[in-house]
Amino acid sequence: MEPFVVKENIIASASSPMKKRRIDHTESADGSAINASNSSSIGLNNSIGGNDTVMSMAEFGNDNSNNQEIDEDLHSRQLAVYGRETMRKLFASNVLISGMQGLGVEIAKNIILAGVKSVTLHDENVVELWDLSSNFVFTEEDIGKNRALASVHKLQELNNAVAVSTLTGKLTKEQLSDFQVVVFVDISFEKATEIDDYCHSHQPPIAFIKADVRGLFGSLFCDFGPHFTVLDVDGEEPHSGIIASVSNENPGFVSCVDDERLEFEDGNLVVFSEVEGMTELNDGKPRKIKNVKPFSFTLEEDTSSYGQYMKGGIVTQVKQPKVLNFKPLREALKDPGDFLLSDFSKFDRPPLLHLAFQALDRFSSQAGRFPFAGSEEDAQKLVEIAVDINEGLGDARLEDVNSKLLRHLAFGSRAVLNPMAAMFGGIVGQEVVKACSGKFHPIFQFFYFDSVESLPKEPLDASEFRPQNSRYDAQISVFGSTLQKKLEDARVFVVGAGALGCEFLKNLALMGVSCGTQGKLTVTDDDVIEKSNLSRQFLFRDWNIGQAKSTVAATAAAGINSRLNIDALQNRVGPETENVFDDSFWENLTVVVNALDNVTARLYVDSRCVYFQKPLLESGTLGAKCNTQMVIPHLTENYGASRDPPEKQAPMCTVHSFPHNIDHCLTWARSEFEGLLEKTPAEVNAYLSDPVEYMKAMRTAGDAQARDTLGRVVECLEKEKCNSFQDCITWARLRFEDYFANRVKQLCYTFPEDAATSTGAPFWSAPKRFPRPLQFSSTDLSHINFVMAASILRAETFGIPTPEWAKTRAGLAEAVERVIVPDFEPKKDATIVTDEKATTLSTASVDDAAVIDELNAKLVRCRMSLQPEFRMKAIQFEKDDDTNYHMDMIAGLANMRARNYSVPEVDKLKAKFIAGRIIPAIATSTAMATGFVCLEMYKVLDGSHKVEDYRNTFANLALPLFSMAEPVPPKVVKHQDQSWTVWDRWVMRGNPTLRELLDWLKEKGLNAYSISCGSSLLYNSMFSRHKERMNRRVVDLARDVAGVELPAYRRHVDVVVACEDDNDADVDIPLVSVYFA
Amino acid sequence: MQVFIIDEDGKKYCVEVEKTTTIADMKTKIYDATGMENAYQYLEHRGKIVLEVHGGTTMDDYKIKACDIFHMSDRMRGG
Repeated sequence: MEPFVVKENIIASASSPMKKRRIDHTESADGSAINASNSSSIGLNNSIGGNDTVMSMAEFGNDNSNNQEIDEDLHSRQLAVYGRETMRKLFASNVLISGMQGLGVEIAKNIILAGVKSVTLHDENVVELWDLSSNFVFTEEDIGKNRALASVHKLQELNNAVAVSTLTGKLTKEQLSDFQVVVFVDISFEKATEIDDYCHSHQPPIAFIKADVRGLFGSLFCDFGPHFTVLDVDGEEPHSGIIASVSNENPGFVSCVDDERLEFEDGNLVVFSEVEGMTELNDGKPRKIKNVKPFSFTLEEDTSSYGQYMKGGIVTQVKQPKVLNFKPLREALKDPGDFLLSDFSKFDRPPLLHLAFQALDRFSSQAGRFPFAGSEEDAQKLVEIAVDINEGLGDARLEDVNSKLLRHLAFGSRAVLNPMAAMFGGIVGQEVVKACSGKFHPIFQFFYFDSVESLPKEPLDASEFRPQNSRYDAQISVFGSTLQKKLEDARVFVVGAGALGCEFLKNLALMGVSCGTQGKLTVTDDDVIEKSNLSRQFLFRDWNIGQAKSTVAATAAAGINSRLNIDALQNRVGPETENVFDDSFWENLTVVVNALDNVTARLYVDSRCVYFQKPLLESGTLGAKCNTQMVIPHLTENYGASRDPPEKQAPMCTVHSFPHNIDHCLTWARSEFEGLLEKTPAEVNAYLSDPVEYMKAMRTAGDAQARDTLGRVVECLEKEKCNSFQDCITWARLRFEDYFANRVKQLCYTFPEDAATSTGAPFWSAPKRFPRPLQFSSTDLSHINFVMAASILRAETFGIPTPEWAKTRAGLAEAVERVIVPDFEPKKDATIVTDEKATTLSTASVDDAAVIDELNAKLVRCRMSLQPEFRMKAIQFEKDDDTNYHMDMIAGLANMRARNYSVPEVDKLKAKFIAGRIIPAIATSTAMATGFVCLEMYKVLDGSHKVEDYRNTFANLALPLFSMAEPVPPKVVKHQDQSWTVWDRWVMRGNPTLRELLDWLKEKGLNAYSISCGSSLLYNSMFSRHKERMNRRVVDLARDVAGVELPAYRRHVDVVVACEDDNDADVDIPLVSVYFA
Repeated sequence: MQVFIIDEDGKKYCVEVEKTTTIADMKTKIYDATGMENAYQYLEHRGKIVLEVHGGTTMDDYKIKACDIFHMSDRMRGG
């Protein structure tokens, strides 16, 4: 087997007669692209021809689409969401984006990262200072340049496999034929209608998207044509169930094994397989179901005359394409249909915004400009227009035209705010992907959103909105100069510089956060950049691979806004770095922004924010889904107050002896990989480093697990020690035999196919699947691939070089044939764990201790024959390196096991997603999440907002679905006339003694029975010897008993007190800070 | 009356409740329908998270009506 080699993306072959424009990375000293007069040898034209017509891309695409291979390293996290077929469709799609203000550039970024074939940027206007509030590719030096031309270079850098080009003149309708999707930002309804009519009637239809961000208001319109097919409406894997019985009746009733709940819905289509007895069901025909319950459903079919069900069977959902009939904009404006809600507390908002955006369009047409911020006259005019339009709607008229809301729209309408651009950029980017591929369900026609709650609570004087000739003028025109100052002086901690972190840093730089003289932004991440990050961690380039995420991200963010006062650290955040992130660090912060990818770190940061009473803005993503959560001192519950459901795990005996799906096989495969190649070599090294200490630990443990571990160490150094590569091949071949033949034969011997349980029921009943041993064949590529990977990795653990012939199938097959494989004899007394609650596979026996001693004697003899410095190499599983044979080994283990149990096998990519526990990730949901969070940042920094003004969000862009909710207030504990929450901390001063602390609590009506500092108990009322501590200072007890090392600057110790009231009921009280100086 | 639960993957469930059904009892019915344990159910209804409070708040107290929609979602760990 050749190792998987990533093929380089080829945009055009040398023989292609068609030329394609793209940006050359060479720049002259003044930063402008070089205008080459000749085409390059591979047919690329290096010029930026602003007025050139884009050549016919459809034809070009046809020539080259077969040459494009997905870069599976770069797009691995995206492949986990979309799959290969969707990615191929993206790679064949040409997209036009017209309007390169902040929203246009966000859309372009997301689409280029996703990997379409080409993106053409269009704009007829030039960069203004105003644009720098939201467009991350513009700098002050770009002012006066055409917007599209100023954008192209930095956008091309995001993904060299996508051809990024520009158009700067007026668009003709005929030019639209070159694209599969066209997106228009900042376009009038009149022009949009005309363009959309052309797209709608074009054959094939061109998907048309119109999007706008107006201050804190956003609108989106989609028309994907009269007959658009959605191939996959939700992105979920087809659900399945294991059949327990099927009745002979009309209609047929199906019950399933209660191993897992069914995930079907009424009306789903399902297909049956492997049914024994009622074999009529195995015809592969989709059948509709109804009356779905957790473990049963009814078929819409008469099974009376079918054969009688005997056993077995799997039922699998058949996902159905869905056809959508979009209306063109002209019709949809009059008859918009049902609106997709974003906030279910604003039921009446979408129809109002539908009216409001039309009114704004009319205002703009009449006045030749948008309303001015702070202009009451303009706002009043907008209201009048809206009322006038509403009057003309007849029965569809709204009862109330909310003039207050229209006033907010008027004031902010000129502004494109970064958070709104990031949020809508994510949504629109996703709609483009849907239009290109049919993956996920589109927004149907209109979507509206507003975040007026982000505005300062106090009315602002008109002078607040006055432009200051600053890059933040657009933002100032919405929020006023006072809040802008607060943003600039904020001291922010961004925890993590991965996908969320990159998006946040870009957003914060554009908002001007920490860009003032008092401001400071600290970002930390202990990770380095890998290729798989580049598809969504958009501040990184391929030349940054291997560098620290935090420093590269910080440098890039400072490039967006040179005034950003940013400090990049490479520390992990946790208890071990409290010397770096010390008290003064946290105390000086204004707000903390999580950009993390694991729950452990989130809980730690949350605990620090609670302790130091700092706002924490949290977000997380999973494929097309994301959520945000605001943790605001005293207003909301903290992150740790809610519990997340535990991840589902199959019982150990299922994974180890009775798998019935590929997930079980992959879990087993990874476990075996880690045991054979990492844990056992590490144990060997631990033994060789200090045999006496190691054996002492083993004897102390003295249990079955220690015995098994020691047995593996002995095997490694004795019978299975490898001195040559041929030894490794022998080992691998015998591993194959043990895993896939002998163990299965033993299982079938212990539990024959007709075995019964103690209750008389068949042992091999669903979900258990009866296994078949594999017969090794050197002509079976899967077998050879497994032996190859296993041999090479085994050699690596022993430091044996791999000969080149071992990497060829022919060479290896010959060597494998020479391996002598002993015959298998089943053991009558073999113990196989079947208890679903078992947590270990080791079974105790009376002579464990004796066996341990015997194994030790063998080890002593082995050590004699080893070189004194001999050590093994422990191999850590690395999922993202396709050349290290790790995934080859795991996929081989899993698929051979799947073959044993007649479970469908998977390809290496899919195996990587499951065994590597890859968190699926795409740029769009990430960008959207950060947009939502930054809309909340305005509220935090304004400082006047109540809990009901904040919003937590869950969104699933695949469906699409939005669920916004007010944060949950903190739980209030009440005691006598006092109450408190997790945010409170009690302070006791005066360097008290233990007795004084107890008395202080008693005055509150509380009887303290236990006092802890860290993990040490300072006092417990049940221990009489603790009475001796009554007269000692609490701080001295903390030092002497708890061993607390207090920093020199610290003036208090924190203790946790467990109390009860006078009725002996437990009372949770806040942390108590005892001040000693 | 019937209320509808939509989970984070868009799956819809129908749950039967009465005006006097408590929030805790509704969550038990949702557990029966979805398998999500009560303690992990974060239900958004008209822009607020449904909270169990001592004393057994009922559907009527929360102004929950027939055919109302609840969104049930978790937090995402990626980033």
